[in-house]
Amino acid sequence: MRNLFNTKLKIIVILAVLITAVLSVMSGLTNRSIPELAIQGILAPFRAAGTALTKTAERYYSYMFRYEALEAENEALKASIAQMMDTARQSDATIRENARLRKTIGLTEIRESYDLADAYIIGWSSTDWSNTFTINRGSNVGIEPNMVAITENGEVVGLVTQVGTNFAVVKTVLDSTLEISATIATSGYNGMVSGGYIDGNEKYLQMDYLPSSSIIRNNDQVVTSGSTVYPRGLILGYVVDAGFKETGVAKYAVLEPAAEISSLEQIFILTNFHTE
Amino acid sequence: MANDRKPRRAAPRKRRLPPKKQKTKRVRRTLVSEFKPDGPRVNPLKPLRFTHLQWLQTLRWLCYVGVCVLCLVIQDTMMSRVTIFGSTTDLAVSAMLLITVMEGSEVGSVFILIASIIYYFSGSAPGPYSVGLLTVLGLAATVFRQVVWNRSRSSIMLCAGLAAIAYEFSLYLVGLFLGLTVWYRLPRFLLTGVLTVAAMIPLYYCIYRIGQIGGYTWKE
Repeated sequence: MRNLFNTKLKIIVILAVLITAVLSVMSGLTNRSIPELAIQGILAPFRAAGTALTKTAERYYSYMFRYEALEAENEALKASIAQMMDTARQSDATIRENARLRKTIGLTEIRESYDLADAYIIGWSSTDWSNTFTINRGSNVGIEPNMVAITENGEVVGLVTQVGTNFAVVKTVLDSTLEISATIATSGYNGMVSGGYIDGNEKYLQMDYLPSSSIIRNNDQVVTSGSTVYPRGLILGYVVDAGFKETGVAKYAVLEPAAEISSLEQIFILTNFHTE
Repeated sequence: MANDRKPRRAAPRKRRLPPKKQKTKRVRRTLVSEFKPDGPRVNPLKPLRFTHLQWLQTLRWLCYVGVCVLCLVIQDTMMSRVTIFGSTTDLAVSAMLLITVMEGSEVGSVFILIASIIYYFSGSAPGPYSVGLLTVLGLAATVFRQVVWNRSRSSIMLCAGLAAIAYEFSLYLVGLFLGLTVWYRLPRFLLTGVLTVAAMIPLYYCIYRIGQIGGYTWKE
């Protein structure tokens, strides 16, 4: 048997182990290493081109083979819009009444204004436990780590974790390592929302630390409770299930994310928000 | 007659004596010229002159890099959204392992180390441990193939495929150790390994064709 495991291979193996150790330490210390930013910066145009090609192909496929389905979806959306417009008309009266009552009791109105930067998704992570994607905008439009990504309807998508000049990595709400303080809009119960990967619900969110006495109903809207990172009132999801934790002292709720993460194309990064 | 002629003896050559060194008179110069002539022109690209074979080999490695980048982009933009029972392929890993096993332990070992580092920095790798896992498993598969089998399509595919499945299994173990995954997700990781092996079939022909550029330079 030939001795192929020579000194060179031994050196390579030792180097690999050492590099792994160094990179592990480095990744714990910082998420802005220069080689990472350089390589991802180089790859960003290729990823953008790949995504554009995929989108074009999907569009043609939908046009050719899903025409009837799209027509039906369009009809359903028209009906939904009509219903929402009716709700909006009804809410106008409620808003006027609310303003009148505020004026009566002298309650100041809290308004939040946002500065947004739009971006397109150019790549998705394919690892099993992390749920991240890459967008085509970075520090060149003022995006920084720990900025919130939302949809055009104010639904939370995730948090920016890494930024290069022409790209940024967003960790989605489905990632179990991302925790957001949230409130059930109708009842006011507070809890922490994170991705449900560990609990076997990788397409859902899980809201923990709810009081055991809380009454949770299906389709209850869950919004952000407000922090230095997340502004108040951004929609996280809707309750689809609830139950007691194994300890029995707290309840949990399973939420369907408000944003359809897997079908997103364009998102908005909240570069700044002011509370007035 | 011409036959009766005696062969001529060549006349002994006179040895040339080396020219006598002329004694030069030293002249003291009173004025020192400030003019300095240019140094010899050196073309910085001259040492990089490639032979035809070297050009072909460079082209081959550029094509390998191109395939790896293409696989990475396809994986990130298309394949990561196509899932079967929650599993997807790992195209970049399959390309890297195939190239390593095909090129042999001498060149492949350096390639897999560099490629895995770049793969980690590209942001597509699950973590820094993929550098160590890919290098060790890629090397083990290459050495195993060279020791046990001759170079053939089936042996290369088998060893690279086994390395891919072992890589996914190792990722699962690391994830389990770090608390990132749960025990009942093992089938999903193994299915990812199987899908990666399936992706190796079309990739093999592409990489094999690229490997033929510049002829076979490997030796076993």
